[in-house]
Amino acid sequence: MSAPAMIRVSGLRKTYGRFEAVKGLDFEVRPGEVFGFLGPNGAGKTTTMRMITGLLLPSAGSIEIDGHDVLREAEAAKAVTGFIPDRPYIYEKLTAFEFLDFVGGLHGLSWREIATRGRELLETFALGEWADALIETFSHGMKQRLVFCAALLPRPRLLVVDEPMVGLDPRGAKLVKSVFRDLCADGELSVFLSTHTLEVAEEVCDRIAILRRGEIIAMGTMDELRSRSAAEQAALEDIFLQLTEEARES
Amino acid sequence: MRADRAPAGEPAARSVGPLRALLRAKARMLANYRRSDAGGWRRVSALLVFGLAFWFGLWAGAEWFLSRVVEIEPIGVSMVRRLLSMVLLFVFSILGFSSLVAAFSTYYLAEDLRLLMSKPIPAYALFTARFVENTLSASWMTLVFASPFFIALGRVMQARPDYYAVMGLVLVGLAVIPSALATILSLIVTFPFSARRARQVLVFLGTGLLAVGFVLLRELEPERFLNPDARAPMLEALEPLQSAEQAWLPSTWALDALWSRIGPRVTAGGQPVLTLLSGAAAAFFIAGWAFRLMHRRAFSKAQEGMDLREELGERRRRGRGRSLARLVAQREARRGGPSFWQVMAAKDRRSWLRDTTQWSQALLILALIAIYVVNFRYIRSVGDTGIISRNGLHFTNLALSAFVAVAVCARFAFPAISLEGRAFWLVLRSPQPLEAVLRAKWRALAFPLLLLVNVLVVTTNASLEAGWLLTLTASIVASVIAAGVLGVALGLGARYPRFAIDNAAKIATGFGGVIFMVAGITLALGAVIASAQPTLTLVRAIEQGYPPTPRALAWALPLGLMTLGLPLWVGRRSLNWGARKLRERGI
Repeated sequence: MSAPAMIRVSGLRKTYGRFEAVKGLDFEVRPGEVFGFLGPNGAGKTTTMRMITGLLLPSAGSIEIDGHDVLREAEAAKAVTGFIPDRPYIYEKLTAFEFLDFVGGLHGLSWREIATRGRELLETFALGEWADALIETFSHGMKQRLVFCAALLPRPRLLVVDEPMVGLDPRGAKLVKSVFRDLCADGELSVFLSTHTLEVAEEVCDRIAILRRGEIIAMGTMDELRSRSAAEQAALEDIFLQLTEEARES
Repeated sequence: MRADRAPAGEPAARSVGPLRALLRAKARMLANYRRSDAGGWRRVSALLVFGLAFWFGLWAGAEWFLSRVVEIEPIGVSMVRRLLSMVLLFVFSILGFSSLVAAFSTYYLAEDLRLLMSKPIPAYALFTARFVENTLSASWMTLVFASPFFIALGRVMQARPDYYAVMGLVLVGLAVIPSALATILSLIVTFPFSARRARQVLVFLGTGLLAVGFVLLRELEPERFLNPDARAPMLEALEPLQSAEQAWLPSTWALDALWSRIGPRVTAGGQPVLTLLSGAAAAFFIAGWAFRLMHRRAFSKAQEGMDLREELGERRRRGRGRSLARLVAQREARRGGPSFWQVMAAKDRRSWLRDTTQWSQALLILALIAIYVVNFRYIRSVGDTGIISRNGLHFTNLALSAFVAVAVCARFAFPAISLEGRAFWLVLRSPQPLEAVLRAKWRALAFPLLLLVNVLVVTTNASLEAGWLLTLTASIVASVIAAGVLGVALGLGARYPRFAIDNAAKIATGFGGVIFMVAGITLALGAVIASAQPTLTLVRAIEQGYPPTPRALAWALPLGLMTLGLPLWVGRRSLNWGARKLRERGI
């Protein structure tokens, strides 16, 4: 018997008045998988991510995270999910370590666990020497790395990442990609990420879904997407442009 | 060649000048307010109704008060002039303070400035647009709610129609001059310091001065105007204020301009109002000149958030910052883990202590408490005259303590959710229900609030010689009211959050804040009124030895239960309702 899906989305819809931002999505993310969510601006990626992370209530449909329904068992679903938004708004008046204390407290971790895991993550993300500095003094990239630390602190089983590379320098971007690969290879973590950086998606994602105007127009591995677009050697950028153009014409 | 010049043969396209474009964008934003989800037409209408009711209330109150003062023979008219002088000085000070607070945001910290500063906008256009914005945003509320006094004055003094025209010009002058002075001061201060730091220091000092001024004004007890016996010392106390009618003060120009149209001998009114308006024009042009000279460099300095990073980096290098190893060791030495409400409370406490813009709230509350204590002396003296019975005095005092609780909640509890700001996604993402988040905030705020209310109730009851039983019941009732009102404040704060606001002091001034004030005062008054009969029945039974009649008991029991239960029930329901609405709203 196969393991339960890490994310199972069925008939997911979100409407704002008469405008339908997400139109009945169905997909699954498997354990240990890096799943990429691509689409042009306004396709409904961020709305879908916010519904998966419990920040926004769906208008219809269901979302299960590791077997927990996001609506009925919201706290259990949130307990196994880490979220990294594209704009890292965090409490600017706390220090980096106080921020980790706070997030650890929200997840019910012990002081010892917060300290040891916090140190490990701060050093991994090259923030060790800034542990006692106020976050308001951090650059955008430093804040983004701190949000990664906070998201990984409670050892989530699922990481939802909206635009992971925004604000990161090449060293930071390389680090994040290797963290994704390492954690997913161990089967400890599944990653659901949205990005406009198609090279990143091509490099780290096991499967990719392409979204347009609230609907999935293609989904599969890179090879499956290539065969669908009838371009055997094409890069993801070409496939993306071709599929979104086809959908626009139809 | 200008890019917008039409090619030959085509009709010339009308060019939108930069000043017009800047002003039109702001006007459109205001007009679109009713279209946004956060605004909405219903909300605007409700605000208008509340505002108009309040405005007419002020007008009626001012007209009643002034008509009583003017009838006092033979000094009534002279007292009206002194009152007008006081009001103008007060309005001018308030406008100066609010213009200064707004100036730092308008000229340096507003989010749209980075875009505007990167565009080829002439300095005159940028200055004029920002100046108009600063003047309107800093003064509209003060002028709108001060105008009933001036209109009432005109009616009481039977002024001719031209008084109202002069009044309009005076209000414009009173708004423009403080705004220009605030612009100049903000430019000068930002030269050596960063805008953020300068604003924090000036706002803090300004609020302190305003609070002291307010307390001093209350110390004068203007209500003594209506008491013939107390009038003479009052007039003596006002002497220094009259000497404050300095010829160089714009409030004096405004006084002369208005008085020239309503005084016993109507004089040619042109000169004083011209002095005020030419002063306003001069201030505007000097501010524009200073802007042109200094703003670019001051704005650049305001962007230097980096200086803080460098400063902290330097401190870390000097060994004042704690190392990661030391931080880890400190936490590893502690047993167990932090509870949810503890981490929320610790985060809120640290953020509050490190955010100087929020300290001004504490000063306002201190001023409020000082005013309460000062007014209390007056309440007690009313009791001595026998106008209000001792029991009536006791419940009036209880109601005033409850109002302090409502005011404290408006400043500290209502903004609690909004203050999470754009970082609220972190709390919303935590594996805790939103009800637990609000309960954690309630728990963290309840202790200091109950402590404050009880200190007020116990000390004022001791002063009233109320006896232990009345003091005990008042303490219980005030605690229950404070606990309930705190729940209502947090619930409504969650229902009407303002996450994107950059100034904590503004959070409670919106629609939700008005709703909370009305709901909080209604709940507090309802509980105080409901508590009267059971309290008095209890006092008669225990202190005076009169066993309660069945009829009295039949009233006392349900009313007592209502007093103790209703605020807590309403507070709890509000808390859960606010959490549900916030969850539905999402971010």
